[in-house]
Amino acid sequence: MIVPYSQVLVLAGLLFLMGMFCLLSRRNLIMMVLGLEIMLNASAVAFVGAALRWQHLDGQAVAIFIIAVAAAEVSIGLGLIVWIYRRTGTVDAGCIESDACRID
Amino acid sequence: MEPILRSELLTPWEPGIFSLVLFAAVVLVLVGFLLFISAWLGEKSPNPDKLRPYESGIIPTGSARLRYPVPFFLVAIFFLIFDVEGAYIFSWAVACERIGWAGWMQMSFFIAVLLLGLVYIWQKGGLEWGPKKD
Amino acid sequence: MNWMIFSPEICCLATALVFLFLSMAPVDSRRDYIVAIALTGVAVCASLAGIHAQGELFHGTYRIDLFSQVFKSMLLMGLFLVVVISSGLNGIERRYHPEFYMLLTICTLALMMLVSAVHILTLYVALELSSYSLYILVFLRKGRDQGTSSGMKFFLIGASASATMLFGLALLYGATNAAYFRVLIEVIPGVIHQPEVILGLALALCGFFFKMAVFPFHFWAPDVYEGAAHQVAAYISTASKVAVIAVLLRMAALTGGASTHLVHFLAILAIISMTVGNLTAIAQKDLKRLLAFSSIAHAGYVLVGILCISPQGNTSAIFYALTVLLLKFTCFLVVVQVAFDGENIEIDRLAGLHRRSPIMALALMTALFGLAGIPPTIGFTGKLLIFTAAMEKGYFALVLIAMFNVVISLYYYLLVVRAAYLLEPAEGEGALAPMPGAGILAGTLVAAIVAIGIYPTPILELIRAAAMALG
Repeated sequence: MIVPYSQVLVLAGLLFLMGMFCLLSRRNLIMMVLGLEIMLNASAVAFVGAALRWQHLDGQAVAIFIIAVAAAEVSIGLGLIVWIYRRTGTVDAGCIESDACRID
Repeated sequence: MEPILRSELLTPWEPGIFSLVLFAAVVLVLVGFLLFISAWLGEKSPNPDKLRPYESGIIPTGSARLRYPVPFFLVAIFFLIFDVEGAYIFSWAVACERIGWAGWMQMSFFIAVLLLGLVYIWQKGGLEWGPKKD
Repeated sequence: MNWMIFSPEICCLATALVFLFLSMAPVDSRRDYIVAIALTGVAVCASLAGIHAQGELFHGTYRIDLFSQVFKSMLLMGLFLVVVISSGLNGIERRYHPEFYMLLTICTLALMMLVSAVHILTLYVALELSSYSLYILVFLRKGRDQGTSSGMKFFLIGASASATMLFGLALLYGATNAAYFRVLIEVIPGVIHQPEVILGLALALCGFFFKMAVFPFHFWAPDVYEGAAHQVAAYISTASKVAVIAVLLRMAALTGGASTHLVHFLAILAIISMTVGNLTAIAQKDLKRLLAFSSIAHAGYVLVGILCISPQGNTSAIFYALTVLLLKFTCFLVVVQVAFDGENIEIDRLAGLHRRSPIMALALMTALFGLAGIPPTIGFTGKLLIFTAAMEKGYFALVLIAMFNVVISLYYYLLVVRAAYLLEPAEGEGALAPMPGAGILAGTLVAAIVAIGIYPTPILELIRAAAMALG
């Protein structure tokens, strides 16, 4: 017996919403990037579930690609955060937005 | 891409929900009991010396939260990029014999592009560690 | 595998590799500029030579037909034009110039893959590759603050939009067992009334709405245009828009017009983004912000063409992509000349442009009139095609609202033209010294805008054939 597709979908949907909540509610840039990663992985779970549902390998291939693309995304995100930190001395989204806590 | 025909390749999934619930309940009860007993029976006489972090007798100074230097982040990022590409190389290795030389060429191109990235990082000083040399 | 039909992409990839090596060589921005012009010129020629190529690559996940080739030619022309105005690349530090060209060509390569992608995997990888290059390009702006805040916003909104799109694609795949677009086209109209299919399509479209700057995802556009270097802003507003129009056409074609819900959804987004874009543009002082809001409004007009889901609608949307490419680029050409130091410019700084540089003032006026849709420019023809296509489908109210919006937009375009033509130049502003060749380029663009506006038939025939290939 295989896990029913609907349950996989519920899991993926919950993960996606959790990631989105993390992205929207956090102020720390690193936590926001973490939320993005969770959203991407939710999609990977949905793809793998769909691949199981149809007994078809396309979904699995997409999931492998998502892993690498997510790694690239987090690298770019962290790279940009390092750059921001060097320039502004903060990783708080609100600070960068309003120029409130600039160090100089 | 062809469908997976032999469904015995897939791990069977038999929901054993009862044993899971029982196990979770036992864990919860046990942990709760231990916490309760130690809080109830234990004697409390807090003073500053007892509340201080234990550092083998040395009095700690400064904050425990150090800022990691930026090279740590950079190395973490580089590791992440090159590490995850393993996913492709492993999946190629599994199918290596079936896809033959064409697949080998594609994989070589892939690894060459990755190496170019490594050369770029090296050349731009991303792998410099420690104090700057002049 | 037939590599000849892949030659424009290979040219782009080779250019990117050349610049990767140049970035490790000593700094010489003059050399970079000349190499970039030469190599992108070759790529444009390759794409024009292969415009009638046909075929499929990579196990049928990559389709090359007239539709994709027309868009690839437009994309490479956009790249070439942006490279041409990069001779005085003062908004970006000198040592990053090779990286600038490399990212620009990689982004173009990704956009070209995007218009050819007919499988959700190629679609996703191409979209992400183009987005990542753009995130870094926006960050490259010289100076302490300008790139940082807008670049961060661009990254966060963009990445969340693409994650949303991916989830939508996963839902579609889970509901239909189809990852190839040609299979999706057959399956989706039959299952379109399932909630997960509708949700999947709507979420999948979100990712492209972000790149297009359509209403709920438009917040990044003004900040990014203002915060990015002029050349990067020019690229975002031309080439990246063109590619997204292509993908939206493909996505909309998936439904085969079977869902009235989706058409209503698109119509509402179109109306809101036109209105919001035009009304907010009126209040803008900064020229690049104004152009950003006008982009949002134009995304609304294009959506009207796309939501027709008919051959006429598709033709009009492709033609409008060309229109936006030419007109927006001409505006940015003038921006780059007037703000040669790489700083942002207020509309007031255009005062007396017709004295300082008549040809630039003429180009600006033609482009703005084109954006407003005044005959005999290409902008008028483009809007006419879109509105006719919508009328044929019976969307009278939509066309009426769009017409009303055109009138609103005329007001702020005229404000800019007034600054250029009727105001006197400020003290100490001498004649503008445009970079070599800019005058010729501006003249050519003006001629093209008017010529295609008056006699669009040959190009329209090509585009009509391309729209047929989409089917």
